[in-house]
Amino acid sequence: MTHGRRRANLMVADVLKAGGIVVLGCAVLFPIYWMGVIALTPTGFSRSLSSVFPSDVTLENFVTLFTERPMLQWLWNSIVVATLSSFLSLAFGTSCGYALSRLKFRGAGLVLILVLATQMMPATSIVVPLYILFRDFGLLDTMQGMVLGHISLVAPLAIWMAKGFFDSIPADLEGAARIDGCTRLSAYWYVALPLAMPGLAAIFIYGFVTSWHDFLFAKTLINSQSLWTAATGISSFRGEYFTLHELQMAAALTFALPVVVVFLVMQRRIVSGALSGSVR
Amino acid sequence: MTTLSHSQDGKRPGNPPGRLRRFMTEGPGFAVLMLLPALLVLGFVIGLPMIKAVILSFDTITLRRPAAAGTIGLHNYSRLLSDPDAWGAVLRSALYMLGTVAGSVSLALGAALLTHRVIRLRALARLTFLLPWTVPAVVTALVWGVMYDGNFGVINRLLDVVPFVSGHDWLIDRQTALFALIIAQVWNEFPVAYIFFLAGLHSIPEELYEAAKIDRAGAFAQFRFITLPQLRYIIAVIVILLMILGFKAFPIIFILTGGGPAGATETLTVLTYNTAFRSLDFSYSATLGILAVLVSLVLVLGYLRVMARADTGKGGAV
Amino acid sequence: MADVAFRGVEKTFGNLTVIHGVNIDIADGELVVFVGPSGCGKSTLLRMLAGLEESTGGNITIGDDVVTGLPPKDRDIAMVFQNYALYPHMTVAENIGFPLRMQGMSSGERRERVTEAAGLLGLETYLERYPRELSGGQRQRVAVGRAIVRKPRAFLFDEPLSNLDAALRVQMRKEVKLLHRRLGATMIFVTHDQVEAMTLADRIVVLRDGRVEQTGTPEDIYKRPANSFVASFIGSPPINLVEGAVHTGPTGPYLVPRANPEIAIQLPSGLDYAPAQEITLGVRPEHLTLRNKTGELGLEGKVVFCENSGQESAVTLDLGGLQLIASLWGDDPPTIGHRTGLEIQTANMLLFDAAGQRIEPKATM
Repeated sequence: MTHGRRRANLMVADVLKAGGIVVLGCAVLFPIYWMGVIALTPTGFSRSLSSVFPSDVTLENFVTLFTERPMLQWLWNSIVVATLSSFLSLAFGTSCGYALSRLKFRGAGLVLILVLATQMMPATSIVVPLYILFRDFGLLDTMQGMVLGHISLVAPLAIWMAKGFFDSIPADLEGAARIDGCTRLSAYWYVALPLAMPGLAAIFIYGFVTSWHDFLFAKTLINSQSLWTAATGISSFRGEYFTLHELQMAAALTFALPVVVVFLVMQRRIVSGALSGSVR
Repeated sequence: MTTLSHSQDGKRPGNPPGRLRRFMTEGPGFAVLMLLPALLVLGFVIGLPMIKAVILSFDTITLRRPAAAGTIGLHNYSRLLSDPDAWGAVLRSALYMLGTVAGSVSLALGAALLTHRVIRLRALARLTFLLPWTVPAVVTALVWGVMYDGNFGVINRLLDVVPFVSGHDWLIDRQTALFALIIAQVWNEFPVAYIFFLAGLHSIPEELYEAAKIDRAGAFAQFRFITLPQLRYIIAVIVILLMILGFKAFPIIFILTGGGPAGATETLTVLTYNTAFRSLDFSYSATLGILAVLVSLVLVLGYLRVMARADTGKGGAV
Repeated sequence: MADVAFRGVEKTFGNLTVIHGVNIDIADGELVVFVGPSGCGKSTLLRMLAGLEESTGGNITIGDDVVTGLPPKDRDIAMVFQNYALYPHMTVAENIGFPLRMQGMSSGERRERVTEAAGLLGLETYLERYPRELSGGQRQRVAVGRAIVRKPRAFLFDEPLSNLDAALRVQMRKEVKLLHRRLGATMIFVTHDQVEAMTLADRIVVLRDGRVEQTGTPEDIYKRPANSFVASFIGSPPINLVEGAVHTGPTGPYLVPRANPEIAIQLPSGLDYAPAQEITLGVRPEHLTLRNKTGELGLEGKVVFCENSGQESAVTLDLGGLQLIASLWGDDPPTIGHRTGLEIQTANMLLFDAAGQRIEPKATM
């Protein structure tokens, strides 16, 4: 094979590859794009769209959403529940993750496996008995109950991820601190915890997103419309405005956007956090 | 001097408050202090419900026949063994798992192979294939619901262009509903696999490819004899992780079809939910939930085994 | 300052015993080096002294206190780690001042002590930097500063120089030695590098497989090794060990090497040899002398390899299957393939019995 022909082959391969990326990328992005297009089309007009491009752009769907539906209330509920459940999970999970990473005690392996198992079993198995329990405790249809429910989703994740972050901090640092006059507790407080801060921020965001995205607990544990989270709120639109695609998509876009923005801002950290959290 | 005060401190282990404090900050008490809050909380929000589930499964709590409550026995389990709906749901869960695993792995592997050596617009290329992951399952369900719409959905309209293919009501047809749901689920979750594959491809030493090129291996041979063997542990981990995700899947199915049409998409998770909140038979629902926990335990054990093997495998390869 | 003692210290992990009843006494103000191959237990011993590992048997005392079971903070010792273990989120000043802060010292007094320690180590201009902004040698100094600032009863060094490049290692070695002289403190230094051990130590403890092989001054260890392991571990190029059987001839006892039974090596007299006793002869490379002519019972070898490091050359000689290394100073190294006579000074010979223990000369020394 001559030098020139080999180079030509390489170029053909590059072009094919670039073409592949563009085609596959467009296919993958299309649903998101389409959500935007329909959300910006005047109510009732998406069915007459004749191409994949928007013809008449308007914000009226969003206006309807926020003026005629309690969308703002639902978003606020979601923010409150996600903040509380993620913060509490972080508070409990961090020290537990540290103990699992550093202390050698009997049953540590079992605790880890149990935590992993709770994270991986279907939430439907928990939510049914939880519903009965919360009915007995009077926690049904309350924000407190909702936060507790979401902690069952977020806390195992927080423990597992915190363990991963502490594993990546050299244990000699705490050894040095203990020699320098720290107890195990103060070595954790002065050395391990500050060093894990970026990781803890990632865990908080992860927990927040998990809670924000949740549909099952919100749907099951809450009845009153005024306490709905955004996830339950917008899912109700499929039943209510079954054929009014424009409103559905405007609500969907509003709900998805904050997380997408957070992701775009923190892309690098979230990706590495995901790997350290689940691989190890 | 400080030296003195320190050694004195060390000589006073008998001092009661000192002893308690040492127990809490240095000794076994420290482990308890660190573990207890999380274990208590998890015990309340996960342990207690699990125990309640077991209790429920031996009882007869159903709002249809409130008077039957207190009938204790194994009747829910014997019903489960001979319930065609339950085993049908297990089968559909299995199909759903297989479909999402196959779809996600191939889509993610393809995307990772295409993008991992991209230099120009690298961040954009990666972002493209990660973005669906940030879309909530609820939104995924709404978007695909709109796209699948039999009358006005964009999918049918795009298919109009293709000859001999006519519009189809994807989610209403028993034949296509499960398949349509799998596609939506794959779109939402394949980025998880994509991240793993990117990391995996990244960790393959470039020298291996250089050596292969010197040995005159073509692109396919390089893929077959270097990329795939080097990725085998990551693929194994991903397959199990996606199986777990597929088995857990709920919102997309529930919002789009609710298990219908006529039970054609009723997986075990959806059946568990419907049994409790539509048929109002909490005891039988708890029994189905326990079955689901047992299945997921098997998957978790498989995951741990694969992870352990991946760790030792990596150690051996380096 | 204080003395340190290990009394029958043991460490087991399940069925595996890594430290077998070790006894070591370290005098107040002494610089003792623990040396041995990797896995010999030297770092484990140090970490047990620090309280970072629990011992499973025996006692450790610092000064008059039995510290076994005490947490590290109550042992009043300082430690410098192999990877420095500087707190990445603290500046140099905060790193050095951390032990004082944990003692509850006021910030004014702390600043004074930190500045003093930094001055001693030439770190004054780096006090506001973070560890990641420092070079390896500077990080090492900060770690030392954190140790000296609080005037502990003993300093522990866990292979602190092994991450530095060769030139810096030599310099830091000197600084540790000077620091020891200035503070007069008890120091325990762990290394796998026998040169470091020889140059630093007041006394060396040679360890193997969790047991003390020998304790002694560097001179003791080098000239009077307790056994063939110590003899071969210390010294570079390594000692020549020749296995063979002892015979007695008209000129006194001689050794017939197993590797080449055709030759005989004259042995020192005045030692009790059993007839045909199996022994190992140890000869340090610098005690082999090349000669132009061979004497009676003279040895002759062929030069097969030569490593010249400038001031010194290590010459490998082949004596019909028996290979010996000789160190030559200054001289032009011999050409490869050249045959040469050689002489072994009997006065400097080390003899080891079949179990590897050194055979003590009777009264001649």
